[in-house]
Amino acid sequence: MWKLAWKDLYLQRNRLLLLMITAGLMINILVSVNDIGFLPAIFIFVFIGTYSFTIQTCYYEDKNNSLSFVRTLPVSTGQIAAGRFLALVIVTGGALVLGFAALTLFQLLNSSALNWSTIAGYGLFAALMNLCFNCVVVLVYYRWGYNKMQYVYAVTFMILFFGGMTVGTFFPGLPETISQISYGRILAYGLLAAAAILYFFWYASVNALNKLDLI
Amino acid sequence: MGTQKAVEFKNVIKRFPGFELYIDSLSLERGSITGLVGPNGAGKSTMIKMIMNLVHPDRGKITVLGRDCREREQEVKNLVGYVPEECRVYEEVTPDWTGQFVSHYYSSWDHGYFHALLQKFNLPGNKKVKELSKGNKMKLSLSLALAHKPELLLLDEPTSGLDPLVRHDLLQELMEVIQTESRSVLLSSHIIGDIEKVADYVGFLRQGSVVLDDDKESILERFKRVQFKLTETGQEDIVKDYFIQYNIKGSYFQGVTGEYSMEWFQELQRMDINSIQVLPLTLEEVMVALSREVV
Repeated sequence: MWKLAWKDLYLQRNRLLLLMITAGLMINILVSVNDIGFLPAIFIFVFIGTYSFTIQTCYYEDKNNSLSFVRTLPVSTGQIAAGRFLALVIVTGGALVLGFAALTLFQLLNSSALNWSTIAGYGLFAALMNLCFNCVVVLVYYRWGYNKMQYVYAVTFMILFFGGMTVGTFFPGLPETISQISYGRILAYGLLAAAAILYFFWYASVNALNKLDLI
Repeated sequence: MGTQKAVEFKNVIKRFPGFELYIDSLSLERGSITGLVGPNGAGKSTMIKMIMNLVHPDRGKITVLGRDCREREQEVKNLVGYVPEECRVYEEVTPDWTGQFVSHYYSSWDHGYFHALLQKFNLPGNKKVKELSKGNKMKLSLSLALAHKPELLLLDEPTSGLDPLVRHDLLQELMEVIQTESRSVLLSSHIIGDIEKVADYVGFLRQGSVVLDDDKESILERFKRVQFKLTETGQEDIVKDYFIQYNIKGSYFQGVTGEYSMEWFQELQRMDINSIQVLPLTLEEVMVALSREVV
């Protein structure tokens, strides 16, 4: 499973590097602008980056027919799906770390007092939504193939992008509710929700892979 | 374990829109080279992919080296080397990286042997796969399939799409490698010349069914071209049932039989047919005769 996840990361190394550089530049701009209103954009950007990773991984696999190659190796469909989701978790985790690093930098350089409890809640919510949508994309890819996956990708991209920007408008009481939850609880809820999402989509992906004919 | 077949198909059915593959019963001998021939779309690749569990049968059972290929999938794949029609390894990495990646999954992977094969095939280990020619990609696939010393080697049209020179070289190298070790090989190809050179057994598929399955020598002994002069009117109506394909030019009758033997020959003679000429057929001619459904 680890080797399969590593393979996905290694094959996308140039893209991940490019994303890191772009993220660095964007963070630099946001920090220098010194406007707190731009901060949610950091999360939106880094998570869109994970989308790019998922899409490209599936795209190259589809283009080279390399899922057939992996299926010829003595590994189970469970391990194949687990490898893909593990890579996704690593990238999403990395994006989350990057987001918080940017905010910390913002606070340090601009001497602004950020509401960390709200940020942690939002960050986690965004990460879970992002993980969920990425998982949907992977499941659709395994079940119906890359072409159908592109439709789902477009829809979920819109939801993530515009939903992320307007979540505060739809749920005005959310920041206050979130700020009252302790960091430990936020982390525990987050991990539980992530585990549930991952298990559900992994199970469904294994079923899809078991039925998939690689003609 | 010694009496187990390399591969056994029992009542296997796979349906696709407009195509059905049905194999009632078929077994491949251990330690032999079996050639699977047939026109494009006959179901050769589907058959091999079902062994690898890449395509799932709707019904029936496939056993590989005595193991159910679905229930004991990982165990089976550990014993099988598979070379697909097109090299499907990752394009952005090198053969060395690919070998290293694949090595983690096979219990009997021999990295030294993998590198020896790369050297034998003159394959650069540090060049990206996408920069390799089609022939070299096929050689890489073959090296990956052989490096874990599989008990069964499945080759799905390995020479397809290669120019004649590369095809010849690849086949030569392939034969050197597979004949030096006693492993079972299933080789599919629509290039019958390739099969004729190397196979001990031949299976012929037509429109999703196995219409012939026997050892090569016996096929060549049974299938003959027979020609003679008809001596009586209406004689062709009697003799045509003895042939799978025939044509009549004037009073000359020429046909192909798949049941040739001394008894068969004597039976023909008893019909007042004289001057019978029996000519050998190549495997390709046998396949052409079998492919033509209209007799």
